[in-house]
Amino acid sequence: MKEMVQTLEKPQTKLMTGSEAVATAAKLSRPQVIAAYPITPQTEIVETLSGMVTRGELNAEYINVESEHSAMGAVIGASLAGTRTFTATSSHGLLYMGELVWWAGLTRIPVVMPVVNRSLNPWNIWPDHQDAMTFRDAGWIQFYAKNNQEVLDLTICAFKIAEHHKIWMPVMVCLDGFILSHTTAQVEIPSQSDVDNFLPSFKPLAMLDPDDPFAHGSLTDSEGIWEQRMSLIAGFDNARVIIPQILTEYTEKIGRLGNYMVEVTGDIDNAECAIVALGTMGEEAEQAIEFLAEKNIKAVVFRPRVFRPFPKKELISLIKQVPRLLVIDRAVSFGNAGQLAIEIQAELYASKVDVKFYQIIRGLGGKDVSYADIAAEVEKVLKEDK
Amino acid sequence: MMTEIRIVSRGGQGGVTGAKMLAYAGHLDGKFVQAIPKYGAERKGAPIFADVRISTTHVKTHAPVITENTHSWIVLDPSLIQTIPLSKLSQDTLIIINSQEYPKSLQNENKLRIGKVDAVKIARECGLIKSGTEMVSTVMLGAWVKATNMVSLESLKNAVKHQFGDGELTDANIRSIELAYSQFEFI
Repeated sequence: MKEMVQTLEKPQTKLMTGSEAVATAAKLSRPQVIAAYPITPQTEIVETLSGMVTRGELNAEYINVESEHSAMGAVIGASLAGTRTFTATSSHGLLYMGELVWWAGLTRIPVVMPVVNRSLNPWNIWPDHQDAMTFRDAGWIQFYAKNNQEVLDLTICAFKIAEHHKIWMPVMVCLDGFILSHTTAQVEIPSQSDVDNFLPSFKPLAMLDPDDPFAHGSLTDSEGIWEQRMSLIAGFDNARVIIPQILTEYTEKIGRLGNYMVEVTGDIDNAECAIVALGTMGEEAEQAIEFLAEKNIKAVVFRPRVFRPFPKKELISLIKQVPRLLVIDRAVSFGNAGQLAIEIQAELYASKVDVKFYQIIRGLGGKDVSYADIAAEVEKVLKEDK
Repeated sequence: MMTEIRIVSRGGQGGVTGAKMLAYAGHLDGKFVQAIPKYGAERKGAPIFADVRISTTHVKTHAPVITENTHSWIVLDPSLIQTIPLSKLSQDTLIIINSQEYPKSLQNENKLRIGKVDAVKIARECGLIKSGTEMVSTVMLGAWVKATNMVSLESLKNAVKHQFGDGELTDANIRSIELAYSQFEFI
């Protein structure tokens, strides 16, 4: 069983919220330009980073902006000028940023943006994945973290992944609002020298230079757009291969993380049912299978930690080994089903996998989902499919 | 083994900060910990709760504590006893109340372990008053440590230092913990 083992004895293990973990990871990654606008529950990230810049602990240009739209505009410009860039947002902030989120995705701006997942309208500040799922098609890599430690580790990796010249695209690191952003837990902090050794300084693939002028993002004919879109599709294919390599390098140089796109927890060989869920619901499911084991029910968890590129091959090779599958989404594509369920179903058909498929939606608008709830759903599946 | 604790308070009493300090004390004792505030439209005087988990293994659950599994309820305002689902509590659940007297509503709850400390009096003695509200959370944590011994008194004091830094506020909070530790009594 893989576990993200932390060593509490180490002095570098600190207690921090998910927001502080993001800010700490960002600081260690030495971004040169930060532009962000506060929104609940992301505010502590920008507060912490602006404090670090003001106190001189982080040598970055912090641009105060009047909106999320401007925040993304500022980091797109700064990135094109040849700097490592960072922003963070949530929910309505992400929607308001929307036009430029697509701009950054389709024109390949290697910015790193944690999204503190929060529900959308009507007003609700609590967590679900509807905000980030709305942008799953926007040309961004998407990670979903299960705890504060993974938030920190993935945020640092995100810079290296975004800036890899064969990927060169923006990365969202999604963390559940409040459940991670405001919850205090232990996080092992890598040293600055270890992070520097893993993440070298920003090397622009192309940069705007008055002495060597070129145009970026100007009006493009169909041929140009076609070529650009095909290159973006190829970039995601590259990302599938390169992301595990970068996670391996991080694990070797810094520790813990593991190189998997889909985390497997539990005994797959004897599992009566597999649970698939993103983010903290994935770790909640890990607790659920221990709870089920006490009742002599064997289950396994497949937790995709990356949603874009979608880890099809990894998931299919795992799902082939189990008789039943329960997919739990924390968002919904209205008129159809949860996004994770929809995408897995498509792959099951394409790969002709024979598995009993069950899907549920849980936790919308921050509705609590406990391990006991997940365990009860597994029991329900087993009862229905005797 | 995992211990789950719920701190019930009113906005302004320091319940959320108290949860952080209790988690930090567990951290200093070498345990895995989690402090989960219930955030929302919280405001001064409104009922609020915060959960703490202290465990010998990595904590995988992220949900609020499950009522039946909750080891202790630390109640910073006696009027909030009515918010506790008493009938769902398990045998020997601990409830610690900030109160001068044994609350009448708990007098028939034989399956529970109930203790009290006059935290308002202690907070006033120590000068822990902010904007007219007695800051009773560290007092109540001192009482909880006396009742359970589940984190060390030393770690709790160090958690207070970590939270407030060196200075008068830390000294006052540490004094309040010591007073609560000596004055807490089971009913």
